[in-house]
Amino acid sequence: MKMPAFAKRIRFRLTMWTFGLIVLMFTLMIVAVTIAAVATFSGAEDEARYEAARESIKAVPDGEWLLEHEERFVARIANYTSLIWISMLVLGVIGAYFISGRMVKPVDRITALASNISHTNLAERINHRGPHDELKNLADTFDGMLSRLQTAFDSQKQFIQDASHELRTPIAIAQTNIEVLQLVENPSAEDYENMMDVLSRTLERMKNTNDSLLTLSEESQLEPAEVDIGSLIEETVSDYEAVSTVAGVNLEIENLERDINVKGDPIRLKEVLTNLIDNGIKYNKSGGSVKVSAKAEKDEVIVEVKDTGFGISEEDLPFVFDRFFRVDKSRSRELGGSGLGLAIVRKIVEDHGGTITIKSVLNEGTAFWIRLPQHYI
Amino acid sequence: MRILIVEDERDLANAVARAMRQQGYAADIAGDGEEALELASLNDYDLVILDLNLPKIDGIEVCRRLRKTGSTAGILMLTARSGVNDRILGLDQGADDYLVKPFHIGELLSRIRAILRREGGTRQSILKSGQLVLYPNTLKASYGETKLKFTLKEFAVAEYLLRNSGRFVSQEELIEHVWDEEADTFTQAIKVHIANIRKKLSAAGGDDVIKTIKGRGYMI
Repeated sequence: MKMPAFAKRIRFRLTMWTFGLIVLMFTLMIVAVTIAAVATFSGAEDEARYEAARESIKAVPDGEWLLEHEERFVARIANYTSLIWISMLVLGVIGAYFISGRMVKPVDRITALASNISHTNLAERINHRGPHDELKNLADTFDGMLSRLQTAFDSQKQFIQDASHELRTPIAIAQTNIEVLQLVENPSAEDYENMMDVLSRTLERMKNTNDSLLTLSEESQLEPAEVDIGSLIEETVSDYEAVSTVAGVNLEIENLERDINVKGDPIRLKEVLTNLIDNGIKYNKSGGSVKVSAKAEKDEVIVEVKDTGFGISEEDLPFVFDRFFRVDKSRSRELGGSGLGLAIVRKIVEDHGGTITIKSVLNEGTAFWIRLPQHYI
Repeated sequence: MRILIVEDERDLANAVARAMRQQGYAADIAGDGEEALELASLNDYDLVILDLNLPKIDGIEVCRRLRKTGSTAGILMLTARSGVNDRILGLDQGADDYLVKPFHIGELLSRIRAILRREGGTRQSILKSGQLVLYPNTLKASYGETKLKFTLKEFAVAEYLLRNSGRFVSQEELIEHVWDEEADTFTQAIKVHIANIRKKLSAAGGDDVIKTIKGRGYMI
């Protein structure tokens, strides 16, 4: 049997339950009174005595009046009781209908909002006002979920815009170079070689941007392991020895506290060090230095990477960890920077439950401090 | 026509410069805002192709300063920014047109021609004086019924004289507007080009199309 739509509503069901409950109570009471009455007259002897007593009362003056008065009183009580029961039934059902309506209202609002929600109108909220009950909890939880979704969507949107913007330039370079060569009558072999150089540079750049974007957007799937920070630093510094020699930059380990560990993904953590050391060498003068240190302090491992490079101006400093922010655009591009390195560094550090801070003076140098929770073996 | 390309992406700037030279324009490249302002103060450009996102001084500021110093060069903004606000800002600071990257080189060239037409005070895409007709879109020229086979430089010289027809153009002015920094041009070269143009014109039956007055220059 197919139930009509209204019958499926909680409001209808609650009303019917109330109705049923009142009827049940009514029935129970009638049953109780009947049982009481039956129990009072437990046999024919009682009934005979009752009749005899009535006859004796009739004989005394006003006895008849008393008996009639008593019967009228009993009848009236019965009438009133029925009336009260019927009123209780009607009022109860109406009350249940309204109260359940009120209770269910936030649920209806959540339903209406949820069925309307799409990525374009995540700004709407239920804003349920009322006592701190389960429904308020539900509405608030729902609002919280919308806020988180909105933040996530906004950051995704920004990300896509940034990425598209960042890919526009290499696409423009490739497209223009191809179209210009198409304009040239009888292009030479050298023309084609030049174009291939340009295209391969452009592709390399798009590949780097793409890789970095993927790293940034990936859900952090850390492979937790015990990582000895000292060994990791030694390994990374030795990887960069040749690069720093070519650049004429003195790369060295300044202070290294032994046997301090963190829990984390060694590959990702090495990426952090690589990025910072690489930046320190690239944005440095010949004869400059990059110094790396590590120590433990109050359950924290602090890694310091300090250079004597170009430094970052005060107005640029707040943005250095932003995606696609470049301090010196032309230099960064020449050196193959995607503008994502420090954003990646921060993400990895934060994925490990750590923080990163920076201090920089223009033309003097930059220092980074990474703080990670210490892991005791 | 001499064009300044302000673009920090070398690979893009070189390709655009090549396309410009292919059209007979003289083209110089500036890699940042500072260099752009310096070159613009040294040379008299007919048009500036200006990237907005530049190192040192950004494109909008370059545009503002160019106009402040009284430059009448046409300014075409190139931008990777898709935001409409940048375009509004750029146009309001004195740019004549804009193009969003990536663009088709054909569209860039036709927008450049459109700006140069507006600057030259003529809305016609064909330049004409007497029987001499130049088609800058296709780099073709004719005198009466006869087609003229000009080299790129000859075409550029003839085009500049025609755009400024009715007044004398000095040899220095020609060098300034038809040759770029890469060319080390002497006035002798101009004499040779003018002589060649005259030869081709008279072969087509057009004598005395280009007038010369010593010390003042040439006029069509």
